[in-house]
Amino acid sequence: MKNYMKKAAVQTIGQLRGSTLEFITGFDVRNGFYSDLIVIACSNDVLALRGEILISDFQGFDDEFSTISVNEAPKKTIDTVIESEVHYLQQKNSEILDIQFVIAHFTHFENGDKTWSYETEIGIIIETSKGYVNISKNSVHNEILEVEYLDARPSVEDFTTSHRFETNIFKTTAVEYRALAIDDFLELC
Amino acid sequence: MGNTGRENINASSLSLGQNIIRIAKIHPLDEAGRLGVKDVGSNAIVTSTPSETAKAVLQQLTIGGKLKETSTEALQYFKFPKSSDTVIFRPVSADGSPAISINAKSHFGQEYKIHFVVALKSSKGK
Repeated sequence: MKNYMKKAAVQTIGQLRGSTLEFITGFDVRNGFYSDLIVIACSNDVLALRGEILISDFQGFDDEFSTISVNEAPKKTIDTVIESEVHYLQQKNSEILDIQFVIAHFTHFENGDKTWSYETEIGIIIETSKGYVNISKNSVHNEILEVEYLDARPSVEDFTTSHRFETNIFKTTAVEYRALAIDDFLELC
Repeated sequence: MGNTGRENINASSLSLGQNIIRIAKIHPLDEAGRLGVKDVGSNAIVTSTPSETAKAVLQQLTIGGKLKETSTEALQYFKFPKSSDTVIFRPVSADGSPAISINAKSHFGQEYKIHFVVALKSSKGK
């Protein structure tokens, strides 16, 4: 099972390269920068990243899996967020230099045999002229996105996106992470 | 008398782990230390009133947590201060039943989901 953002969404995010970061905000972010709706305001565009859920039964039962849409939230909601929520101004006026996507690949084993795999993006690394902005999924099963500002480039292992794939003495889930440039990620989407 | 009422608890000092331990007096933990019993793909609490039971457990489970507004009515999201612990309530989850997702990073690092059901999926067809 592969669950990636839509290609158009990745392309839209990619268009932020070369623009100037103004602020980032989100729904109810006054007491912590995590929300199901994150708004990134730049000199050339305003993007609304929204955590959403799709249902899949690839494990043999229905479960929720998170995905990220871009600019699919109602405009009224986005406008309300921009007007009423606190604006995070770290790295304001910095140039967006590059954007990468962090991919997690889960492989599930039962009694030593591979039973399924699941691959999805778990985070976006925005490199600016002043540092880095990480946007990551709180869990691969819910809508919440988390934002953090960093001085140094994060490692893919720094992403703390959690999961609830079953693990016991008979069942294990291995996880591998990798960071992809936009063009490489577009080939997957 | 047991300490079962929300009004009797110093809410600000409670963690998700403490809430789980308290609720376990009513809804015992499974062998993995999780609320409910093991079912297909998740845990479950069997009840004749899934919605009401789910809301009652949610209320106890989120004492000390903060309800975060979201842009969707599909979920209620609670975050505990001073930790990464979260609780998500879905009135209608993937299989149609009400469900609570627990992400208790400070309590054995457990992330799991509890469905509130009339009958276990694992018992169907038997």
